[in-house]
Amino acid sequence: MESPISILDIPLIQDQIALNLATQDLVACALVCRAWSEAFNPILWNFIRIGSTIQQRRFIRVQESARYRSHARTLTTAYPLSSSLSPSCAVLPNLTRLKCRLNASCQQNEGIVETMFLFIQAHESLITVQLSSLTVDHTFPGIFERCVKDHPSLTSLDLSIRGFISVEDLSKVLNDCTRLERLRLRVATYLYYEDAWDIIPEKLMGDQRNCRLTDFAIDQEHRCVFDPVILQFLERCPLLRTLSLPLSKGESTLISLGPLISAHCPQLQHLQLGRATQTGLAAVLQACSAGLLALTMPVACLNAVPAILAHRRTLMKLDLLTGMGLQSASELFSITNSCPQLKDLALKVKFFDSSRDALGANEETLARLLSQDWVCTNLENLTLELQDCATERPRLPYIEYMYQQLGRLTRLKSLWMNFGKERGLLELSQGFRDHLQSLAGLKDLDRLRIDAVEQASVDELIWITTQWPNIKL
Amino acid sequence: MPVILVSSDAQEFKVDKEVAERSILIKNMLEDVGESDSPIPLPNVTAAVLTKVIEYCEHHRNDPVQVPDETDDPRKRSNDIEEWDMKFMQVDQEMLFEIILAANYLDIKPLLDVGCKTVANIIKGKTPEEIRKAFNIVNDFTPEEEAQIKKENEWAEDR
Repeated sequence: MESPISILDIPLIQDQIALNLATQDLVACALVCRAWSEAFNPILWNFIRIGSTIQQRRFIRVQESARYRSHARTLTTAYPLSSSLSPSCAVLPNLTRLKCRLNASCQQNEGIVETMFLFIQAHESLITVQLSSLTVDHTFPGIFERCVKDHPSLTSLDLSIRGFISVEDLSKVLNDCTRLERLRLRVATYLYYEDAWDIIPEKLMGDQRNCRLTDFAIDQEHRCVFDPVILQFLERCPLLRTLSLPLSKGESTLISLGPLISAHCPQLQHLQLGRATQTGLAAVLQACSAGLLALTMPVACLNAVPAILAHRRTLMKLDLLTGMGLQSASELFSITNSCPQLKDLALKVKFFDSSRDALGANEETLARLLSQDWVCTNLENLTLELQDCATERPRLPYIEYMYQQLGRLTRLKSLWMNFGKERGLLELSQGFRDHLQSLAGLKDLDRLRIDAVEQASVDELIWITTQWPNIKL
Repeated sequence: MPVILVSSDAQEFKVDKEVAERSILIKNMLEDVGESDSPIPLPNVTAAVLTKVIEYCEHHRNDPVQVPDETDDPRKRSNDIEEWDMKFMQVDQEMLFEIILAANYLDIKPLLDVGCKTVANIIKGKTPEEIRKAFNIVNDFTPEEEAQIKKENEWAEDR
């Protein structure tokens, strides 16, 4: 008789089964028999998670002798792990990914940051490292230079630091990141100058080597003292495709940023900016190369943005959810009427009375706008946060026009309409009820979310689920 | 137009093209040969198993094609199995493994998923001894080996 089939007959199936198991189950599987041990131990060891001091102690006790340690690819830990033999010993020789958010209690230990970085230095196979809430001091640049600057594999670093660090020291750290491809740096600390009267950014960024960075994000909580250094640094990032400067930046920084990008970062495609003035944003946008594909930024009382965006026909992704929001429906329509490539769009829009509407004041302009169809018919994901600030009721032409245009977005997969929970929005959300029918043509829709003052009625829900049987609400 | 599938024990099954094409293997075969009514041999699947697989494909003939979600963390994936599938999978273990192997060979991803989830559900929450019992496995460890593995994997225990 043939021997009966077991789970172990096809390796692929083991992995599939293991994907549905918790760590505890994998531990049990590894203890079933020799064959199961051979099959499940590598899977268990693939992903190591150390979340308590007991786990840390147990792990350190066996880490140098454990048979399956070479199978470890990902380590997530809240406690430092280092070899008791020698800090330069790679206990997990094939580790590619480290994610560490140090427990607050062990941050008080002397030398903890150094221990972490020696671990990174020792593990030359590491590609991705994520270190959160690291408390640093003046010794940090030295440690960083020793462990990261010449690391052979490290490509992506996500680092968030706090404590005390000077502008000079942070510049040194940045200077040692030239081999990385992806850097996300969060500085939750008060930056100070060692010598406040003698800051020359060019001098701080002494190393003139070009960076390999394609993705760079920096987030600093305290003012813009570091901005000149960042600008200097950007000049050396010719490969940059994604840039994120999410916190507030001074207007002067933004004004220099535009020309800098067009001169030094010709490949930039994704730009995310923080709160800024209209002139600043306009300066950046106008200077960006025509290849810009994605843009995330807040809108701060500016009517000019839609006009600037109108020239960005290549934009595929636009996120203007933060900030004050567009000030009128006609601003919304001017975006939808000018960016034909858009696939993702997220906007906050305020509906005012037409008489106060920036464009609506001009009857002719409004009439022209409402006679055109939206050109963004490639849209797949649309998020609209609508606020009603009107006191009168002449919004009907807007609303009718909007639903009629929504009905033409036949590639739409996900639609989220947020009517808010506050006063005055009833009419807009009821508009939705009345106009639900006009969305019947959106065959690909699989996600629909409507946040409104009133819940949808049973009839409407039935209509929606008959219309889109696979929809996620 | 119906398609004729031939099991390893030479039984013929006549199924709708739409049903047969739930199997990516068969779909590709049909695309390669073009219009043809010659039977498709499936030398790795017995008639008993093929009957079950066809039953599954009939029931799911109108399902939309699954798009794998890259961002999904596989470890957080839900283990929910549809009620019909759950009933469908209530077979003896031999058959369960046969179905999984057939789903793998015929490349029917959703059936493979459901099969693997069913096996995972049998394992879940059990001690090694209970797993041995469930799958009729003999413990071939020496006490030393067992102790060694326990010690090496202790870090993974939460308590």
